[in-house]
Amino acid sequence: MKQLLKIPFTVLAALVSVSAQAQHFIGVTGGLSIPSGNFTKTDYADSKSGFASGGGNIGVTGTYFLTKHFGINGLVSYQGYGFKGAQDLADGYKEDFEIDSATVLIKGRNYGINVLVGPYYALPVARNFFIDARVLVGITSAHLAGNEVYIEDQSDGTFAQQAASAAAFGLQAGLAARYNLSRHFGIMLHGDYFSSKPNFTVSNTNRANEAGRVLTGYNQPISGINLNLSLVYLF
Amino acid sequence: MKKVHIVLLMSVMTCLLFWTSCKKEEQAVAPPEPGNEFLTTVELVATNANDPADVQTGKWVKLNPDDTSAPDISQAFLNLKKNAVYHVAVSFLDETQTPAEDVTEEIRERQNYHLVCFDIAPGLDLTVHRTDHDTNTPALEVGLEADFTTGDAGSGDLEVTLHHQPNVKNGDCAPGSIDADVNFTININ
Repeated sequence: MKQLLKIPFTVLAALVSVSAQAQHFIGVTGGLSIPSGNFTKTDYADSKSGFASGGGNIGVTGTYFLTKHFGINGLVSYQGYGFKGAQDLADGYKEDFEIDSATVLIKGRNYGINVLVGPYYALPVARNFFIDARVLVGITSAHLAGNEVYIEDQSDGTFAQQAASAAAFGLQAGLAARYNLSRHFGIMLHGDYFSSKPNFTVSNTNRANEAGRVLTGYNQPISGINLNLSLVYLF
Repeated sequence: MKKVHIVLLMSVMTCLLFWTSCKKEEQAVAPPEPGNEFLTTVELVATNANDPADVQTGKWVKLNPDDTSAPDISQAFLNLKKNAVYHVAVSFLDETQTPAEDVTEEIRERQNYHLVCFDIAPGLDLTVHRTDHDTNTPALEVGLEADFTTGDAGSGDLEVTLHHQPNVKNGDCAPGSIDADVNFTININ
């Protein structure tokens, strides 16, 4: 019985001893951004289609601990996505304008710049090893790629959907495994869900006739998963 | 060992940065496809506005658009009464198919970039006014329906052309390409 009573005290003592090692940190982070939902659809006929593919993100993150476990985390990051489905766009315009051929040139890219802050919880599970959780909110400045469409039958018919920008509320939440390599350096492996819903106003140039896919706005969630690796400086 | 870790990590970060920054343009081409439909037949059906029983039909036919033979113009004429107004419907058919395919509806669905033009030979006392409009803003004429107003007696040619004007339609006949170009003889008696 005495032995059984000793166990929780031993565990508690161990946690206290490792939590005492919790330090503030700041570091660089980067990894994969895997979007999902309508933002990744490539259906020409669906105005919700965002034609985005996976990309990457890079940024600076840091946590200031207010207690041994709780802190405030901040993140400033650039998050870029690829483009897919340009062929679907070209085929769609060719069909809609009943032309011999159409060429679509994607201008710019889809990306977002995030400035987020929120609560952070660090759970020490072993010496120098932590499981961290965070919920971040803030501003996402998003950018939507544009395109130019060349109608081969008639060069004067070339038209464009201009790239667009919009700011929106941004959310990012997830877990991380953190290991302190030394007294001042650590590495982290993150998995975060991200989401924002910017309301883009899209302008079009040289749309002489009302035919074919025309996007005048785009207000769909930009969400998905970030898988990141971070190098942090502990202090 | 620690330095190796750090260098490795920084290398991964640098690669990610380049990966996310590059590949800013992507291009895709939808190439031409063989086997488009033919417009073998153009038909004009003219109904006298004051006499619905007075219906005149003209038909221009060339069943093989690829050969150099002359079109069948044996029915390519309209006999109209002088000083009258006729409501005219223009139809385009593909008679290489069985049964013949009426392409007119497809043109009507794509009216925002199609225009039928009427070119009247000098000396023929005829006025043509298109009466149907597309859904562009502002709406532009289409020409699948028109009013023919006749004047004094006489004969002459009426050239009917179907213009394909993808994203360049502006109400004029000049922009775009021509899908069909046929001639009818108009006899005003």
